[in-house]
Amino acid sequence: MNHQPFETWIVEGSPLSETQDKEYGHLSTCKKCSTLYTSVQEVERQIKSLPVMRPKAGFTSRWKDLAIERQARALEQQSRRLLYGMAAAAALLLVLVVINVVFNGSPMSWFIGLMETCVETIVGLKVLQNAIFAWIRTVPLTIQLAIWIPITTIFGFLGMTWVIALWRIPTQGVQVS
Amino acid sequence: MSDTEALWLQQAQLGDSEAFSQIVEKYQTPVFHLCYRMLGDEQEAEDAAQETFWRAYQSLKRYDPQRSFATWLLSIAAHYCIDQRRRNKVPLMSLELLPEDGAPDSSPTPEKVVGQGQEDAGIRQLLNHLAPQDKAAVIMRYWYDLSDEEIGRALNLTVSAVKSRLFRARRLMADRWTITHPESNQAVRRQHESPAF
Repeated sequence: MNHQPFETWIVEGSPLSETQDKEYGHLSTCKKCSTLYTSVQEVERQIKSLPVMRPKAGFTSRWKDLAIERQARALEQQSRRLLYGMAAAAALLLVLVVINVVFNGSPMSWFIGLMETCVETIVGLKVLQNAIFAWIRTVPLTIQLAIWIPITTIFGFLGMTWVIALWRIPTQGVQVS
Repeated sequence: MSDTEALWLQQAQLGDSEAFSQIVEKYQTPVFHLCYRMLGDEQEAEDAAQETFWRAYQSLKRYDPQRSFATWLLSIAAHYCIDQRRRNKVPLMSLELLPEDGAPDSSPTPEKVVGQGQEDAGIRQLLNHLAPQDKAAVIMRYWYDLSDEEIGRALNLTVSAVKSRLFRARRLMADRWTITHPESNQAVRRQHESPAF
């Protein structure tokens, strides 16, 4: 006797067909299929009778705590990554400078070049400062004040923003929307 | 999904964690239940359910509103539990070693509690023999009444793969049941005997 169609019907749990009588007839005579039928029915009955499990009270507040903790940790990791990235970039730049010194001239010539650049920059800034002061001295006192007050305010504000931004990076990370 | 839930979801997608907490409150039981049935341990289920909601919150922007939100959540939970099961490779225990800690009934009698615990332990034992994906498919079918299509979408399987996994799982559970409960099988058969037999 081929049990396959009966086993498939029993295990699939598909709706009974027109051949229901024939299939039940087979179940009454075949011990193997009737055992399978009973087992499938019993397993399904037991699965369906089991209660729905609920979490312990306070699940949502525990989730809130977890979310706050994970968000803080994510920000911390992000700021650490940023700092490590900046440090790595600085190290790379230093390595490139050293390589450049080693392969393109002596350290002394590179140092002299660096000093020349610094002196040129300082002299350039001094010239610019003198030009600005000379221009300001030519205008009346009231206009001078009107120029200085907004300039110092703007630069003071920008400086403070810059300091606060630098302080926020390692402490609070960078918020990405 | 109700209008209120849709609103919570919309607000949560805009980054409102308080709105998402409402969603956690609403769906905690189905998610926890799936995790418990997958992992068989209350603490592991709690951790898995918490992780599920965290992952859902993180990937909320990728949620497609055309899909059922509950199925999407259960899909995240199932995938996480499948990974956990594969990673931990829970050892199969004998039926005698399993704790009889079934959930208490609303009106428990000692006999009822013990009987429920035994049934729970027996089913857990049967489920433990299934492959993680087969187990997830069985849980989604029997406890959540999901269709083959929904189970397929949740587990990234084709409908025919879902059908064959469910078939294999039912067959395996029935065979194990026959082996572990020969006396019950005979008794039930006698009880179900009808003129047709």
